[in-house]
Amino acid sequence: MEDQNQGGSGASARYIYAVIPRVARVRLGAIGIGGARVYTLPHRAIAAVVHDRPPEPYQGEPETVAGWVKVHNNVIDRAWSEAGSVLPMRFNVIIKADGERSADENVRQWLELEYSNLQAKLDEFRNKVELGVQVLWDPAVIAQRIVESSEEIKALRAEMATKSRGAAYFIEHKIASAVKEEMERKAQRDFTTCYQRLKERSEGTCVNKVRKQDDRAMIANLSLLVRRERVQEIGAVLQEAGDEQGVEIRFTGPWPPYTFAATVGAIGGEPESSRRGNAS
Amino acid sequence: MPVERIGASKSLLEFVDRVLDGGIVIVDHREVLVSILGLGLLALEVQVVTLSAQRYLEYAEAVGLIPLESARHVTEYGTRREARGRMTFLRWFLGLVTRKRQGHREGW
Repeated sequence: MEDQNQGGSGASARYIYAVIPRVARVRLGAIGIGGARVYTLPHRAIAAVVHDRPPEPYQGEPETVAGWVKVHNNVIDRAWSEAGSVLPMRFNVIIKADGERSADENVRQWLELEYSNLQAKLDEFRNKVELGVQVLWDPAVIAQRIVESSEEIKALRAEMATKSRGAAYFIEHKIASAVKEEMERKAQRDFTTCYQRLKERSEGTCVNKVRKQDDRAMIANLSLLVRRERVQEIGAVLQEAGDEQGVEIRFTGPWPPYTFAATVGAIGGEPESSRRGNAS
Repeated sequence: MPVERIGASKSLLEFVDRVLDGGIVIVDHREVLVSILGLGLLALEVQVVTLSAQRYLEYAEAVGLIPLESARHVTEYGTRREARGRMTFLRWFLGLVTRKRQGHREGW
């Protein structure tokens, strides 16, 4: 498995980790995937962080891939701390030589084509970090709290106690649907409140799709672009939200701005203005 | 419940989410780019479906339509990834069935 990670004479392609502002240091050491030597390919005031590689994507067993993904991120972290700003690439972006140009020339051509876009984003992301925030509910605890606090449900329960078994069955269904509706309203309310408070403190937000969890209901999955000095403040807001019974907050980072750097760029002559990004 | 603060180096799922789904992607118009997608993610998904794939193989001869809904659980990463996971599963499954059928013909 290690062989495919090394550069050497067959390395006619460049694996790209990130784009950074140009730095004096050219070689970052053997910190790349499979111990590959990582270095910068400068172009004007920016540089691509790369290692040499044969023109093949990385493929492997899940555990191996998970390890590569971590190394990919570690290299980006290192480049980030060297340069002060970073545009992370997605895993497995590899540029190779073609009939006209070497791999290095193709990398530089891409940097030139995207130059103003990349430089603007590097400026924008300086001193900012990405944070991941997931808000999860323990549905049983939240439902119980709703049953205990809702006047409508209390009244239905009282009514049920006085009814025959058949009539009580229908009231039970009414209670279940009232709990479900109230949970949906609460999820919407809590999400809006939490999102507003975080948005006020962030430079950018991205609402990600919620993921299925085994025993928890995810009501929010957010990526935030935040000034470094405000990370603690965000933590305090989340601490407050997480104090509520049945609510769990997962707060990860600081990450390089993966979500906010996800820009599509072209090799081969498409104008910069046609690109799109997902940062808000 | 306290806020669970996880350092960037500790959450594998978050790594996978960001490194395989975030970051800059380059669209290649001259085929100088080897890969623009996280092939690793496909590998992760394929392994997850392996557990249930054996069951499908048992019915391979009887399967006229691939039950796409059955492959829904291959990934927990949401609709877009589910779709990708289903396609991965489908390609992988068809490959296996084809090989198996060819194998029968060749007298395995």
